[in-house]
Amino acid sequence: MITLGIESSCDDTSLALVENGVRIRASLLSSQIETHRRFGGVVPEVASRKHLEAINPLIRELLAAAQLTLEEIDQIAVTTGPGLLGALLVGVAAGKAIAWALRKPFIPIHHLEAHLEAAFLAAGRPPEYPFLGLVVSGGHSNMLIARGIRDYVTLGRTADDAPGELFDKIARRIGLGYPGGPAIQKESISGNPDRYQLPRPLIRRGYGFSFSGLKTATIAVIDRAGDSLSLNDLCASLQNAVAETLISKVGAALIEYPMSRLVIAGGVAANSELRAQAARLAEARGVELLIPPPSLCTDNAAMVAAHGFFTANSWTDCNTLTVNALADWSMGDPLPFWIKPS
Amino acid sequence: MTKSARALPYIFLDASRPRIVGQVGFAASDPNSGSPTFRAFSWESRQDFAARLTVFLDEMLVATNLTFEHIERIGVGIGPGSLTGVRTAVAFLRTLSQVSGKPLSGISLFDWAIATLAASGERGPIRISVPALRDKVFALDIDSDLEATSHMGSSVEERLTLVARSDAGDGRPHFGIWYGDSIIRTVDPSPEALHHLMTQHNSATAHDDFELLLQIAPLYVIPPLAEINLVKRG
Repeated sequence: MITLGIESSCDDTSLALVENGVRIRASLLSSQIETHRRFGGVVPEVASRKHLEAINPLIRELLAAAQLTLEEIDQIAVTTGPGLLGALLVGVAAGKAIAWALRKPFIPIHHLEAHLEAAFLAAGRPPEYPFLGLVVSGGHSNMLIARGIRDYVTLGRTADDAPGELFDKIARRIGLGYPGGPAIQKESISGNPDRYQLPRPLIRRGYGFSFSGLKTATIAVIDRAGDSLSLNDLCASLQNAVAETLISKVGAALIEYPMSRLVIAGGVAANSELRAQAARLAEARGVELLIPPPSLCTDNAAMVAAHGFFTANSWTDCNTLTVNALADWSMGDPLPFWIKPS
Repeated sequence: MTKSARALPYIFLDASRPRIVGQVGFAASDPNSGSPTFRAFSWESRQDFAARLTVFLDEMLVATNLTFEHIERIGVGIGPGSLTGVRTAVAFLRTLSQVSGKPLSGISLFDWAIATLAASGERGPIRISVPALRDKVFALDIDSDLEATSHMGSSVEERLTLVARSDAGDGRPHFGIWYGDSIIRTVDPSPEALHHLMTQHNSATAHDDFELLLQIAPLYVIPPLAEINLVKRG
């Protein structure tokens, strides 16, 4: 069964065709990084316009790349939230047009659930539950217990900045440009992670996250150091602080909620320091660690298509053309139907 | 009614304004039947336009005893107007055109209003405008005969000027699209004018060629604030 995935929740327009939820037939991405770089971050209205420019050419290129026709697509899975509303709407509208014209199922997909799916897709296998999940990106940091498809218990989420957002803001402050995560990682390679003392926010206080204090502390370090600031050391110190904060909470959760599987996903999961610390924790605790390769950590439609396949297999009410895009949509919350299907 | 009496059916959707407008029409109609050649629809727009996209189309098709297979041409309002509404409608109908192979027409509010004025006997030259911020309007001056003016589509943004709402220009009649005051006369784009654009001028505006299809895009009259600030900062 071929599932078309559409992802447009932020600044990447992506389309993919995935077979039986585990085999990527084709995956394309139109990145807006260069467009947003001059603004120092994603501008929602600009992002929406770029999605509209990209989506129709991508549909054509995708079919050509996969050597498939539209009629060979069995279902359409689209990210319907959470994300930038105007950006989401472009993907949702295009996906609905395809589903309606071809009379194929339209499967609304939660962006963060799809990120977790990427870990299993990368391993070429169906999702296995339960697992402890951590999704960390530019807009999100969520820790949860996944008990099944659309069955999640959120343990904690960020109260303010997400880690990717923190990296973007600090990178902009020290002139590394956008996006901040890859730039900070690159600078940190030869840096001393112990050079600058940065806080590990809320490290022993539950599973919630807060990175705005770390941002303020980092800016204070930058200001205090002045010309003597070592960018390499600062980036290494910051990256280490973020990774330790995240992994210490994951470690605590694994004690309170013993589980044999740990999934870490989202754009920040591409960070090498976080991956290294996660690998050490998993080995020490004897749990299986699943982290997608960096190409599947960032936003992509293959994870959406894969999750659409398994969602459609598990839920009979998942086909609806009357679902709306939602900027805010908590994991595990019911689908935002406008008309509940009978 | 026979198929020949209801030839070349089109379906149109516009989300540029607070009320969503739809229309189904036929290029040819049986003169003896007395049936209207088009049927106009409108819906209250809430925050759920994207949720109801296919509901709108289904409702129009059911009401006119058609299926999408009967439709031979699609139309979409390209604004200016609600950025999100127009963009969502264009994304939906442009993709529908792409996957169905049915040609798409992009109808600007300016074309639609000008066709409305022409049908009411108005002659050029005129000034026609939409509201902008702070007592200003985006104005388009039409020098030629209105009947000859159409299909400005993608070039209309370059021809717009930002002027004070009180600026009467060179004295030509000034029409505001869906707004007016003591100087500016209101023009309400009509279903009849839309039908005229969708049928009489369809050969010039409807595209099934992919590259031309991509040119059917929202009229972004106002650039994003971030771009304005970026230009200001140099």
